Amino acid sequence: MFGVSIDNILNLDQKYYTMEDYQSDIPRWCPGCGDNGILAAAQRLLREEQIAPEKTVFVSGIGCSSRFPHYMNTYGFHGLHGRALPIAEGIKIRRPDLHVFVNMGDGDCFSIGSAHWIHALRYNMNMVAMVHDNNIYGLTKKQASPTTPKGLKSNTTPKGAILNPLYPLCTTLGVSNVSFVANAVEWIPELLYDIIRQGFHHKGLAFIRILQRCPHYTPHVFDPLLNEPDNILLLSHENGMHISDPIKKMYKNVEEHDPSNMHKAREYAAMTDRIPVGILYRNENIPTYDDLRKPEKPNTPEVIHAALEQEFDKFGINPKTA
Amino acid sequence: MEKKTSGDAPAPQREAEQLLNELDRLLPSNPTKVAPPAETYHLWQASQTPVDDDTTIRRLKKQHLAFYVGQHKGQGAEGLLPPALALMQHGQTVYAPFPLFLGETPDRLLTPEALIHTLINTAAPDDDQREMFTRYLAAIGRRLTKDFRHISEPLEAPELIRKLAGELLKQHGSRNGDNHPAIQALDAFSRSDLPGGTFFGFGPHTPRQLIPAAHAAQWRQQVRQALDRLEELTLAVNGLIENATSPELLSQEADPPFGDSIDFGKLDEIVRSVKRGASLSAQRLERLTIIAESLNRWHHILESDAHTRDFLSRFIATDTRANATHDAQDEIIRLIRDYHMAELEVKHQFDDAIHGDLFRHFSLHMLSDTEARLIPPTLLFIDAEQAAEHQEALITRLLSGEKVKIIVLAHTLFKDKQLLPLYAWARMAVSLNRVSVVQAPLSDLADVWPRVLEALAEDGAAFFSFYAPASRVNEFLYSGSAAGARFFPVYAFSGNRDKALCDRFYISDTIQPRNAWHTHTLTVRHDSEETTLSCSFTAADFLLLHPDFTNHFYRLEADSPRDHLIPLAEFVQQEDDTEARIPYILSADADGALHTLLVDDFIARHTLAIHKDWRLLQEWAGIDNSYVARALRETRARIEADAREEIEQLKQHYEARLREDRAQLTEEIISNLAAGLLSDEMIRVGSGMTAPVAPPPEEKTEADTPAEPDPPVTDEKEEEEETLALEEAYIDTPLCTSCNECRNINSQMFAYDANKQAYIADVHAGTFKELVMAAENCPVKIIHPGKPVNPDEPGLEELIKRAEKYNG
Repeated sequence: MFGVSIDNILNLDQKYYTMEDYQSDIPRWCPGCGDNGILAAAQRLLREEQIAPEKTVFVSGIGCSSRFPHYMNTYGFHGLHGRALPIAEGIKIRRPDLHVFVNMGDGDCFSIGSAHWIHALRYNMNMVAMVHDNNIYGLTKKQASPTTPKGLKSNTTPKGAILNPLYPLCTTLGVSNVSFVANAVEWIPELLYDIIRQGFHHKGLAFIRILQRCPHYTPHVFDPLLNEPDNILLLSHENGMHISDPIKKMYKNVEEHDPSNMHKAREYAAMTDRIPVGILYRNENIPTYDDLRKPEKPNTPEVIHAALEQEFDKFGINPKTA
Repeated sequence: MEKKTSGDAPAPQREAEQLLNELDRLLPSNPTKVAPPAETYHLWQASQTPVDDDTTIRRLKKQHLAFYVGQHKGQGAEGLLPPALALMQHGQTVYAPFPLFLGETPDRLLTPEALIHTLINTAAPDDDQREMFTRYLAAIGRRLTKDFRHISEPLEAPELIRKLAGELLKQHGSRNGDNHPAIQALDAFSRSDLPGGTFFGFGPHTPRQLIPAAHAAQWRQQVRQALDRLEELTLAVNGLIENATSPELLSQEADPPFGDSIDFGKLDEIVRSVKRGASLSAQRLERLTIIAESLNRWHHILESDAHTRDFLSRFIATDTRANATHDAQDEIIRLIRDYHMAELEVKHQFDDAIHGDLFRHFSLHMLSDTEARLIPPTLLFIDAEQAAEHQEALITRLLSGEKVKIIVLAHTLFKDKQLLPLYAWARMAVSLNRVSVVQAPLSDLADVWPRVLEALAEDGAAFFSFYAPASRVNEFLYSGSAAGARFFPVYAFSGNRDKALCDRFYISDTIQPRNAWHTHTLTVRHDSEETTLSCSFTAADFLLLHPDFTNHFYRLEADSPRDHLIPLAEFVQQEDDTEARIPYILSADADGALHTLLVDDFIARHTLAIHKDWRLLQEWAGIDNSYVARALRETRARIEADAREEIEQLKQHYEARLREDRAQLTEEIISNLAAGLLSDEMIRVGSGMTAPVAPPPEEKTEADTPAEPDPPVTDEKEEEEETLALEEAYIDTPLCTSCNECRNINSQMFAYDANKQAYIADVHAGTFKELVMAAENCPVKIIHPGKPVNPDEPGLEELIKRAEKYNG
């Protein structure tokens, strides 16, 4: 009796973005690579939040993981080795209207980029940093990285890695101003997505370390976790992760952990027998650098346009003198 | 803080701060954080806990009853709307079926939304630009409904659309650049040939503008068909006249054109021929001139819709122009007469002695049927109050056999608290059985438009009853409500008596003709849960919109018991009222909270009356016809009785046979038993330890079998299906890490869902071997290959063994 209005029928006020809208190329990662799962989670996040591709930037360094921006149909910056974070910070400070994501590998972030890593944590700028940690340099064909477990044979350590690996979560939690630290594994897609989503909604730098299988160079390094689900410890809390029943059925080790408790977080980070998965630490009250040093003129298209107009006006010809 | 410093800061800094503040306003304060979507309007119901105190319950019930019988005033229902309407009113969408677009052919009457759809379908560019382009067109559509729905004068459609497109182009071109494909498409669109037509706004003037316009176009077409030789005749007659008067033409006809030199002989001939022409016949020339004038008049009238409309405007009856209509009718008869004369003249067959008298006394009775139909009907526009005053006159005119189309437009359905007889007039016109009737609120005009045209074109009288409410909630919603609540149902009736009665009726689908009331399915939230609620839009819901009736509603206390209440829609349908319960309707306030409103006897009676009227209409239209139902019931009863009788006979027949058989069998068994006992073997065994036992009594199985078909067969089948389901291949989709491994093996068999996680799209698209390979390669081991679907695949045994590991 009322009929339907134009808005109802066409529903055109807003475009609905699908996963395909964020997908640009078919990934050239090896079959079975864990990066695929992280890519799917990132695309799903953008789809669920309905963020316009043109309002999103993915920044990466060098490595397998750093091919990420090529497969996202958003803005992207494939940077220098270890320099993804400073580039992302530069983007964020000039264009606070963009959503910035950083994808790095373990070699990229924890080795050559470690200085930037530490300071990015301290600067606490509003973005999401994901470290794809496969415990090896994969792109350059198997060299030991800071997180390579002791004893693993590689091209640079033919008799097995000599040093104990770096515990990136411990390091992170030791830096001042750190505001969000989470650990994820790529083979539980539901938790991975949820962690990235919570990181995205966090105000400040969300540091997410993701354990990622490399089927080619470290095929068995995560076997203790994959074959023995009890080695994974899920952290659940009403302010943190909510873990669904099917997941609880598979991973029976679930502990309550309040993400605001730094001491407890450090305990979990230092664990070696079991791997904690979930949000270790979160503090929304730490000031972000982009708030403290807000630019007077962010480079939004409108501002650039106005500046250009102003410049062009200088070339105006005065008809009286011509 | 910024404000404090700005007072004494130097000017450039102040400017910078100001700019910063402005930018702050432009940008979301924290862009990474998506603000939760604003809570949209929705219906909800707070949880209710009825009181369990007996005295309170008794007091409340008493109060409700007192209200129902009119001894207690209602609390009023200001600010409450029927839930379905509240959703439209408070929701985001704006419903406006105006301005209506009338195309060049009168049968195209489109609402803006339909028009935009047509435009998109005809003018949309390629796929990649289509969406943006569609969005622009939708924006044009929105502009149309927003700014032009109330235009008081018809507007030319192509110009208006072009203008709106131009404005949009200017606005978006500066932002997106002229090279954007959608902008180019829009540009091309605004310069292309748009469908010709006119826009009509909503208001009391709508029928007065729309119907004559459509009628003019229709009539013009009809005349052109009936007088198909008009063009030819006009040329011929004008030619004859020129022949008789123009010397140049005569000379040209006589000889090929001559050169520069003056041929005096030729000149002399011309002069003489002109004289001859003039002397041809002064009488005939005069006649020809008259005919030519008439034919030119026809041409002028038929030149464009506007001219036709001007001419036909003389057929719109008003008190002052009663004579004008008559004159106009005479003029048409004269014009038709001259057309016939022209036909004779062109053939040089007109003989004054034979034809002169005939044509001098030419009148309406000498027209053929087709020609008689060319005389347009008289259009009579009146409003409902006038109609109420002159009821008898209206009926007389409808019955007079005159070609008259009466168009009644009501602004309100009520006079004080009384329903205007408008509703009854349309029904009365239907009952005359030879008058075409169309009734619709203006908001549903596009829906009944074909019927309007039919009724206009038909020979007899027609009665149109339209309703255009003055703005109340939203005039379109309000009039739509009148239709849905059956106060003003959208229906049409054809005056053509050759068709079956139910075919002559048309009830618009938009008002759900099969239901007692227009019923909406609404989503209601209780705390966090969502339930659906089927909600009838009753006459009481419509009365709720009317401020005069608010005292007849009583807002139920939140803690009141409800066992003595009944929904109004059920109340009017219950056959016996032995169980006295108080009817109620639901309503929603501006926040979306649902309230229960009791209605009093006055409203209930009105609702019942409207309901009965509607039932009558339904029966007329052949919906749930009680006569048909009764006939069906009787036929069914007869068939059932016959069947029962037959069954009884069969039963008796078989029982008799059973008795016979049983007697015979018993005899046989006894004789067999006796034979067995007395046999040699039995004697040898002596003690009778392994004595053969008599067969089980057969009569029992025989009697049971016809009654019960074998049940175990079906059980077996079910089991089979269950095991099959276990053997099917599947993937634990939520655990998929999107690594593409399986899709690399076979992209037909494995597919990604909306979250980019794999599932088995078609198990037949590949071999079992591929399935097993995928299961083995899957890094998270979530592919379960099940059992092979193709039993002929080579090497199955080994594959099944390999698959076992993944089926657990």
